[in-house]
Amino acid sequence: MNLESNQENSASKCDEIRLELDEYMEALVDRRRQSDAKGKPSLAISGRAQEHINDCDECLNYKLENSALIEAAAELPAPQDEQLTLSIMQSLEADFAALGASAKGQIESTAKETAARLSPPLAMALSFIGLTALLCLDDGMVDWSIVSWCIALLVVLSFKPLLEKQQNRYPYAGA
Amino acid sequence: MPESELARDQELVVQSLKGDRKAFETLVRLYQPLVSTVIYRAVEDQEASRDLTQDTFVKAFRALASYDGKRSFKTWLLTIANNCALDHLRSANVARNRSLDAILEEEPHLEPVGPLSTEKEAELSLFLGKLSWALSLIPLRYRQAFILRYQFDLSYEDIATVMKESDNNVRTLLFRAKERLRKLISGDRESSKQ
Repeated sequence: MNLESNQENSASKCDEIRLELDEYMEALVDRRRQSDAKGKPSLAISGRAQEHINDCDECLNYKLENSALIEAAAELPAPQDEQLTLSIMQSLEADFAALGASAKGQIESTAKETAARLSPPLAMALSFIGLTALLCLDDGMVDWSIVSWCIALLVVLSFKPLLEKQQNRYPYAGA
Repeated sequence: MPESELARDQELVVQSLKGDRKAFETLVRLYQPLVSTVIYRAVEDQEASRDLTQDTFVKAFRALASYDGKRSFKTWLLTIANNCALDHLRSANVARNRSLDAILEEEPHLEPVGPLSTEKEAELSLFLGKLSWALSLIPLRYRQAFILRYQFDLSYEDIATVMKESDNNVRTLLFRAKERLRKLISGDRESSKQ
């Protein structure tokens, strides 16, 4: 009876220690994948676990075998295949060409849209500046005539949307 | 995954989407060994693994616009690779009336392996060779989890995403994988002593 209970206690102690060893080894793997691990303190198993594996060959083997597996796994070959890389890039040639064409089209249409959006106000501003400059050259022109020119310009501007609306309704009217 | 790696991959993805060939080629060079190895460990056929690696990158490029930049590119790419490998295994086994679940849980070492030939023994004289040999004898799910964790240092969370498993299942798979590998390698050592 006593022998059985001793064996059970020993088995559960081994299970506990192995769990701790597993956690320790997983922490080592996590540390391996962290690029900023250099400054961190080194990992170690507890004194209790160390004491146990000094006395228990099975647990010592468990630790050694698992460590060997984990360390060897990191050394398994994963070769760079230059031919495969070239082949992948070649198979994507058509996709890149399509992507380039659509990007070019997008840039052109954006440029056209921007030009269309900018040109009417720009033309208006330039004509206003040009007109004002012309009027200023004429010494005989009085202030009220400049004002009247501005009023005329405003009238034209206010009619512009109506003209455009009419043009949109009958786009081919002038053709 | 380190922040710098994430930022680097995000930048390369953005440049690739703008049509920069060099940027995507850099991504291919960075991840081709990882993708090839993971696929090869699943299908265990050199030729098929090359084709599937190519498929993976082509699919990834075509789906690049749908990639969520906040998440790891590596994990996203490996999910595509894993799907490619499983689709290949599924289609290759349809003719044999075997389901994917059966393939995933298959226990190759239960099939008669037979004693190692002298040639094989010499080939497997190094521990790495033995590990490779033992890996080919454990179920696919164990193998995948083991490779992703211990060869490529992926986190439990990333492995769970790639394999569509829970974190706890990944822990169990890894525990069982190590157990099987230990037994196979030490068993082989014992048998070679006799």
